[in-house]
Amino acid sequence: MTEDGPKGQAAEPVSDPAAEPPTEQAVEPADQDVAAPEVWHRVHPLTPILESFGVLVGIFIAAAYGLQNFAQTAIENLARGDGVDLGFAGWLRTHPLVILGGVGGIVLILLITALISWLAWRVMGYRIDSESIYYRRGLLSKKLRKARLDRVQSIDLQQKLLPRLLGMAELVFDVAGGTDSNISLKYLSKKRAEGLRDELLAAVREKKQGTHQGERTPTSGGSAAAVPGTAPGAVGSPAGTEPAAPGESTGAPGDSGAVPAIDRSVPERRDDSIGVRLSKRLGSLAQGASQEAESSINELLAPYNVSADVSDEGEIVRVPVHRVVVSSLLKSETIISVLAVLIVIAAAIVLLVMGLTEAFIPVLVAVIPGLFAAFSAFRKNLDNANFVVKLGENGLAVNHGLVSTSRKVIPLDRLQAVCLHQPLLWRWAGWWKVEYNIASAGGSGETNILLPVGDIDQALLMVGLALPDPQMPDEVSAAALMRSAMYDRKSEDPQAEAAEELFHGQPRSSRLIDPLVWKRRAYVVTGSLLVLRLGVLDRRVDFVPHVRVQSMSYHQGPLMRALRLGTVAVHSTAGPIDPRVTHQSVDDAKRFFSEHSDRTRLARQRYDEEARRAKEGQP
Amino acid sequence: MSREFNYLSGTDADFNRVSPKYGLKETIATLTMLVPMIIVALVFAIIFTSDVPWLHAIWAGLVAFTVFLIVIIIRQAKAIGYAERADDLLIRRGIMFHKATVVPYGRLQFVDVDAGPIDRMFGLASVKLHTASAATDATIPGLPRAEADRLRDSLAGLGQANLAGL
Repeated sequence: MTEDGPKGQAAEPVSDPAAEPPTEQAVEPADQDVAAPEVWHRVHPLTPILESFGVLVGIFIAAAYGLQNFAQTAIENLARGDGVDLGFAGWLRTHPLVILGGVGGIVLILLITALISWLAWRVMGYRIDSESIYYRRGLLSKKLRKARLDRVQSIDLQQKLLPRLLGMAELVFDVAGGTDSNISLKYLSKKRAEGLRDELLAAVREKKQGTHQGERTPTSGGSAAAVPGTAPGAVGSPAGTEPAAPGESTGAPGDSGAVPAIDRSVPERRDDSIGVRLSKRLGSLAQGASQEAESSINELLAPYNVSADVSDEGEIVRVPVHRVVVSSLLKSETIISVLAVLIVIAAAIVLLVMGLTEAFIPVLVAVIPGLFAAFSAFRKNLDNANFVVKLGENGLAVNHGLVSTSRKVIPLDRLQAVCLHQPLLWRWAGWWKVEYNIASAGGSGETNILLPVGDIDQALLMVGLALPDPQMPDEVSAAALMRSAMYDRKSEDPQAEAAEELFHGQPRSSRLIDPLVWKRRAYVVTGSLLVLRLGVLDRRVDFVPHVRVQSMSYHQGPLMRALRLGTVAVHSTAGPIDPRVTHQSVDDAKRFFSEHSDRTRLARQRYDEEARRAKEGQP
Repeated sequence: MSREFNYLSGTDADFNRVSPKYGLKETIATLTMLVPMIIVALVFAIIFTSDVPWLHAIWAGLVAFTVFLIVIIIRQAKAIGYAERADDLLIRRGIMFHKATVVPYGRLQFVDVDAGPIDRMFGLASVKLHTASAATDATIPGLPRAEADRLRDSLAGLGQANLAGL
């Protein structure tokens, strides 16, 4: 069972043959340049053990389960007043050979495991040359995986619990491609992983800068050629590319957005998000530049009336553990599961009081899975503890995790939409959560978090960095608009009244469909943003920059027609945000539909025009 | 019919309709599902007519349902319209549930032309537009094959022109 080590990994995407992209080859690739000697680096010797740890845990759980059954029987026997049945233990005592055999078997299995682990470790390795990174593994079925450096989207350092205890980390290479195209290099000592990551990030960036100039001309032709193609494959990963955005990131269709690096060949544009402008303004952020960064942030975010506090390490936001713990306890899901457990326990006590002792223990045992579910939900939230955001040259660098830490870079120039969210019970603390949609393959709602929990200043800081300058009319400040969007008529901003004027609320007839939210739901269109105010119990505000809108649609069902209402959906990329201007009166909805499609098109045109001019200006 | 074509104000576009054969094709696709059911219900009703006479209600109900469905399908087919405007493509459909989708040419990722077996019997094809958003559900079904190809090439050309102008 334990010798499953190398084979058991078949479940992982790395060595799953079915999910293998075409980069998979035989272990000795013939197409390598023979001249250069292949230097394979070994991973950390403890890797096979760490990888088969799941199996060990499985055995442990099975054993624990057996023991638990035994204990439960014993307890039930005791409760009934019988003695504990120790027959099996007594039998064992009289047959020492069985014990010897059992122990010997376990030792043998351990030895075999160690041998196989050692053999497996010998074939694991990685190699880096000027073009690509290779990762090989597998004792029986050999796998070699290759990723071109200029296709690497990001390099994340991940530390799961056990490797972290042993000071080890894995490097995950996000490759522009399908969902299973990641390479996960594991495990390396943390120091080595960090060194390798920095080295490779530099190499990747250099590689991309190099191909960048060369591919400039084929770029427009390449993505244009992709449009007529009826074959989806022609575009590479459709969800990850933005054909109309050669101005952003690299622009080559296959790896548009493949670099986390922000394209600095284009100067600041008005519709760039403020974080992108900031990073263009500051260039690469040197260590001591926190003063400069702080004043730049404060200047750019002045309309929001927030001030950032940049530490010497460039940290702009740090979420303490206790706040994540309290906030996750206050989520509705947690409270519901706690209530469920309490009800079951209460029921068990009632049964006990009524004298039904037989039912008492099974009911209590039934609580255990409930507790596990609650705990796992809670643990998932703990993953966001110690959430630290730094301003990096590639966007926002995020570190998070309590028991297992991970790092990632949020490329601000690829964010498509942002939302602020406040679950009901967070109100008393005034906390908000910030999430985003991004143009990337395989984005899931769980991880699209810009800020897991924070006060209004932190939330506005993150939202402000992720969005372009809102381009407000003169008489209303962005701060007033944000507060009206967040707190609707309870906003205490001095300009709240003027800000409220900007909101287009739903007509009175919509109260039949939206009895609770019809008064709160409203939208505002500013010079660069669509702001949607949603949710009356769980407050929510969606922001969609005009330049990021994909397509739009208008809906009207029979009930809505009877009430003379219409809904307009603004299509963004996949993610937690699905912006909709709901249940406006028919005329308003239709006007919004046609005006907004013109508005977004013009914004887009202007945005691209600026990029084009900038590129022509400096060949 | 033009009354139904009016669910967008401020649009100066003339809407193209899809092939009249599309309604027929959809009808046939539906009938291939429902006719066997009706036949089975009818056979059962005839066999057991003396014992349970109300079995006749089932096939009668199915026939009524089929007729109702066909009416809806044909009306829906007539309600589909698309317009190639200067900067975007506008598609609308639905009689009970109105829906209009606008896809800017600059946002097109790629265009699919699909023709299933029944489609091919009628010489039809459907054109599907893809953007970076999965929410974009922009399909024009039931175009004559030649028109589908023309539309695809034209969209490709427009996408190209748009990208070149970046």
